[in-house]
Amino acid sequence: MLRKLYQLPLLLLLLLFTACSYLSPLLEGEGTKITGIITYDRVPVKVDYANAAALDYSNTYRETSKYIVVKALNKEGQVVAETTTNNKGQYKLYVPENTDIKIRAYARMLKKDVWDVVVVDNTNLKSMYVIEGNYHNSGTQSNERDLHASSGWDGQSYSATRSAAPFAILDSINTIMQKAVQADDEISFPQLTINWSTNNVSAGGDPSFGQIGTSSYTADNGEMWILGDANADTDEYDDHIIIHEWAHFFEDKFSRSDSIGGGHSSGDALDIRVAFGEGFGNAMSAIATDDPIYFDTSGYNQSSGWSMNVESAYAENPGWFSEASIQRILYDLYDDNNDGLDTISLGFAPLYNAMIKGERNTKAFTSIFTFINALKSENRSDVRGIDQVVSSENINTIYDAYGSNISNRANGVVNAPLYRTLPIGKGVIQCNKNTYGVYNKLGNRTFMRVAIPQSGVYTFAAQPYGASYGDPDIVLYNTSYPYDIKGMSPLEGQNSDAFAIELDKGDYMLEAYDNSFSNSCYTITLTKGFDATQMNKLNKSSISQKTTIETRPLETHRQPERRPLSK
Amino acid sequence: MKKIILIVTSLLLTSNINAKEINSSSTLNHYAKPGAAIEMRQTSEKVKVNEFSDVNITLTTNIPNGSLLVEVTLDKKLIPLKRLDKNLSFKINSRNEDFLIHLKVKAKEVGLYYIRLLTKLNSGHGEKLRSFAIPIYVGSVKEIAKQKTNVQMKAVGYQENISVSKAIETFSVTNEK
Repeated sequence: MLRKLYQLPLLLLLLLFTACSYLSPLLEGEGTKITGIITYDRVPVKVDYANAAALDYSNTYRETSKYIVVKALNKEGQVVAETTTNNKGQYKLYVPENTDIKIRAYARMLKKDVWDVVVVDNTNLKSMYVIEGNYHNSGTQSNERDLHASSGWDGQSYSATRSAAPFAILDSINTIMQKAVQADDEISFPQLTINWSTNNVSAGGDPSFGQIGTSSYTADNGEMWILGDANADTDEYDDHIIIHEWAHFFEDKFSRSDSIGGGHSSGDALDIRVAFGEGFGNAMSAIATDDPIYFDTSGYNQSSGWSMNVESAYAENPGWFSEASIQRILYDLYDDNNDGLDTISLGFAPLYNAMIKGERNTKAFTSIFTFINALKSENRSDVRGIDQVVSSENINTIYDAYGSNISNRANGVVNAPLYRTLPIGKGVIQCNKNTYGVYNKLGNRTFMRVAIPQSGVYTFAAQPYGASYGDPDIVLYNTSYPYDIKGMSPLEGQNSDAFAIELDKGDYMLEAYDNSFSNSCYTITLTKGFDATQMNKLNKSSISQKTTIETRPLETHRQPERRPLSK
Repeated sequence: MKKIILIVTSLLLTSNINAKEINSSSTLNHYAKPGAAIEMRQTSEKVKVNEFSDVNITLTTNIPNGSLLVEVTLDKKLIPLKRLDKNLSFKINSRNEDFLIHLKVKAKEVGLYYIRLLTKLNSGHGEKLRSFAIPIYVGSVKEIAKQKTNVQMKAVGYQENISVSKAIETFSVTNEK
């Protein structure tokens, strides 16, 4: 018995070794050739005259799975051959003759040093989805083995495994990645994990339970999350949504987004950073698919969704603060369909280049101003056409990254220049407005440019101005990529706030807002040195002079709300 | 005096024991995919089997006028205290108005259940939708985790962490060597 126990680890090790091992691959022409094609059920959408959108199961068709990993396995579980499908979903493998072999297709799109995208089940230990066939003897003649992933739809409901979903998601990702490759044939995408499950619901909480909130991209871990809640909200066939989220991945990894997230809609007057990020995402979905109809299916049998025309939907409150204006501008700059003031067809490459160069490195917050400024500086001969498209959305000609030429004041919400200057030794009165809503709406926050002439300690402070005030917060940013937060005021729930910080000579950006999002005004000041008067106004029990000089790592501070976990 | 303190302490302890744990969440400040401009916040009591959970849902929109329709559906195993009004309709009169939905639900089995809302917002320029789900925890999280077996595909395999499902396969042998 004891001897057997001693043998057990050795046996387990041997079992593990054989079970996991790869056999030496055969060369082309050796053994038996297996060819085939990998497909999945693609469920299209139908959109009616009232812009209602529904999945159209009756017109489901077989679509090919491009660039995905395919392996041949023997009965011992050893991988005897491995490849990827081509752009038509075809694969070819050479396996040992007269051997029982099965084919397994992975929800993993792989091209070495170019892309690696996987779809996993976040409610099942992050396991990667695969489909596989049966064991067949390879014999000595060539085999053809086609594998197909079914939608699981039986005509009435999802009654079987929805194995097509992960492959549908990958195919949507492939659509946009090919667009990027066309613009830059040397592009190399970072690895991307996409979490999808039939358990993924529109509730926040524990992702291992499927509580993902919504379909999104999370910048903190660089992953995407896609809803799969049948009869409520599924997104695996809503390719515009998948591409929209991928666009946030693109912004994060290749460009820059200063978006603070939060709820948004096409009729909103938004914080410029949010408006650009969301408009860019919507435009990218239309550009990638060459289809301006953005749709989101939901409800019983995925039959009661909505849609919008990214190019020609009714313009509610157009302007530089509108995600709908931004998506229309970007799509018009791209597309071949010249309409209205749109006489330009740039294609995708100039937009791509503006994103990865000028937009990434701008000293202002990312917005339509920074993007158009970058686009115009790189495409001098197209400036007139670009200006015309921009003007069609009630936006004056853009001459710089700061929107200095705006005249559209969003019905009086913006009175001062969009970016103000905070001089040393003087105060600036800053007022917050919640006319359009709170948190990420236009008027909630004020941006101020700060020029530090020489290195040293500086004090930033916010004091109430007038009768209405709440809880001021001030955040200081470095203006070079990645535009990180340099320092921020420490207090919550107080009507004044301040911080002192050691700064190098250079340009910085200050964001000031009322964390209670009430209509309120503050005097924002910047003084050279440690301003004891301002700092002493703070609650001394909660903060000391030593700890208010920003030399500590930011982890010990109140967490900034900018750069949220989800975009 | 000691007796009074003891009584008060024991009363406080008893009330704490009876207090139900609350699950709460809000979509405000969280990313939302494009859709209707609606925010949702909710509180629901975590309950035991056959115990009613008090659920309070608040919907808010920043559009100044229009209409809000809400389709409410419950997981099959959730039982409402009263007959459920599955289609709710609200008229929007001002920005940031709150629309309240109150429910009491219970379940006969341990599990994680959902109340689902499909909201349809019309501001006069076409309808936009947004879905929400409100979790109802029946039993302890430990018990619920044990129940998490509704995954259709199982992780198996050869050191790989994979969820396997059967493909529809066509197989043929060709004359080619």
